[in-house]
Formats: sequence, C-alpha cells, structure tokens
Amino acid sequence: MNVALALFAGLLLAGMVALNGGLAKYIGPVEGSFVIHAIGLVTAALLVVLKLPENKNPKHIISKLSYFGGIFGAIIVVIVGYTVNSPIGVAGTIAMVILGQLLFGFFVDITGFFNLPKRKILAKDLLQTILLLIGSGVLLYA
Amino acid sequence: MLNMALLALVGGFVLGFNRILITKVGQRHGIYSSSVWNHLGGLIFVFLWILFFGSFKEILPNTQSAPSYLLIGGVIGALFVALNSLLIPKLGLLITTTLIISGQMVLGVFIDYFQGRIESLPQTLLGLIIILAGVSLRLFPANRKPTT
Repeated sequence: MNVALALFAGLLLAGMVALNGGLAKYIGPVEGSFVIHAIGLVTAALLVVLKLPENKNPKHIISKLSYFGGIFGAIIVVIVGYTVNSPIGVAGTIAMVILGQLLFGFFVDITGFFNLPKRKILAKDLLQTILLLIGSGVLLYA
Repeated sequence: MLNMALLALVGGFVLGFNRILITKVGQRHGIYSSSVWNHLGGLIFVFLWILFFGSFKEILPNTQSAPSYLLIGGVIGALFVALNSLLIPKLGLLITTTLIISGQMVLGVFIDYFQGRIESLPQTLLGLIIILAGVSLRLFPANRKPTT
C-alpha cells in the first residue's frame, strides 16, 4: 500500500513538473514558483480546514528549524533555474538532482539524521537504487 | 561544467533536507499542516527573491495569459507534500525517494512520448524496464518489512 502510494506520489510529481514547467515558460521559473506556492498554500489550508483523518502527535518534539523546511524546497527552484541553462542542461540537472537525493536518502537512513528512525539498508534497497540510477541514465541520455 | 553538476547535486541534498524537515512538522501537526508550512516557507523565500532580484509587475498579467489548467500544478504540489510527510516515517527517506523518482520517470516518459519528445524509443523502453525491474524488487514478500 505504502509502496503504491509512493509510486503514485511520483506520478503526481511528474505531472506537477510538466505543468509547472509549462507555467514557467509563460511567467519565468521563480515567478512561476511564486504563483505555484501561493496556490499550494491555499490548497493545503483547505485540506487542513476539511479535517481529514490523519495522525498527529503534539508530544512529538521537533526542532524550530523544521518549520522553515519549505525554504529549502524553494531554493531548489533557483538552483535548477541556473543549472538547466548551463552546459549540463536539463538531462544533467535531473540526473544530478536524482543522485543527490538518493545519496542524501542513504545518509539519513544510515545515520538517523535529524532524529529520524535509523534504517538498515538492505541489499535489495541498494540494488533498486542502482537500477534506478542506470535506468534514469539510459532515459536521460536517450 | 563540474561546478554546475555539483550545484545540481547539492540541489538533490537540499530537496532531501526539505522533505525531512517538513516530515518532522507532519509528525507533530499532521500531514496537511506540514503542507501548509512547506508552502508558506517556500512562498516567503520566493517573495523575497523576487523583491530583491525581480519584479512583481508582470506576474499577474503573464499568469492570466497562460492556460489556466497550468495552475493545477499548485494543487498537486499541496497533495504531494502531504503524501511525502505520510510516507517518509513509514518507508524511510531512501525507499520513499527511490519509489517517487521511479514513478516520476515512468510518467515523465509517457508525457514526453505524447509531446513527441522521445528520440529513441528502444532506448527509452530499456530505461523504463531497468527502473521497473528495480521497483519490482519491492513485490517479493521476503523483502517486505513490517512497516504497518
């Protein structure tokens, strides 16, 4: 179930990237991100108001830094804006961002960084990651 | 070239950092509130960026000239962040990220195909098969962890 949901999230992301990329062509990447974040904020606020079933734990102590996490999500827009227009291009940018995310995923799961649960990296996790990197490379440089 | 590649790599770290911070907010306040905080933080950052390095003047008229269905990306983004906050505590960052990227590449290929941007179909299919072979590793029962 969770695996299917994660794959579904990936489908959502691909659709989102295509739509946001389309908008960026009309109004610019950072400006597009501004409009997208505003719409996303309103949507998320509506989801909160709807009081959908979800788990929360007010006793869960978190760093104040966590509330500023969205800033890092917006910084990537600026970074990508620079790198896609550099010699590495769109394919190189996607490949490196994927690699960076996976390396960071290993780091967080192994170290339990930021008080997240530590997880053992299984052989099949490693294999899946390698297949993803090879497959992405084949797709991006097709 | 190398510094741009490194910058994009750091971009991947930054994206991961964003996800785990927002996941923390989700564990305390719920996944939908985590999406609110994510978009609020992002909006403030982008607002300041445009304030210092750009201009707000053209945004509204240019947005009105764009096809309005493009704005759905913002709605999807709100759901996407909530899903991230839901899944990362259950699957861990690595598996969640790997599956999301796999799903993204698969639909990405379909979108590119229908927009006529696929140059080599055999190579694209090969790439897809390799990625899906990786995803299929999750289907073997012995590999399932008790994640509830």
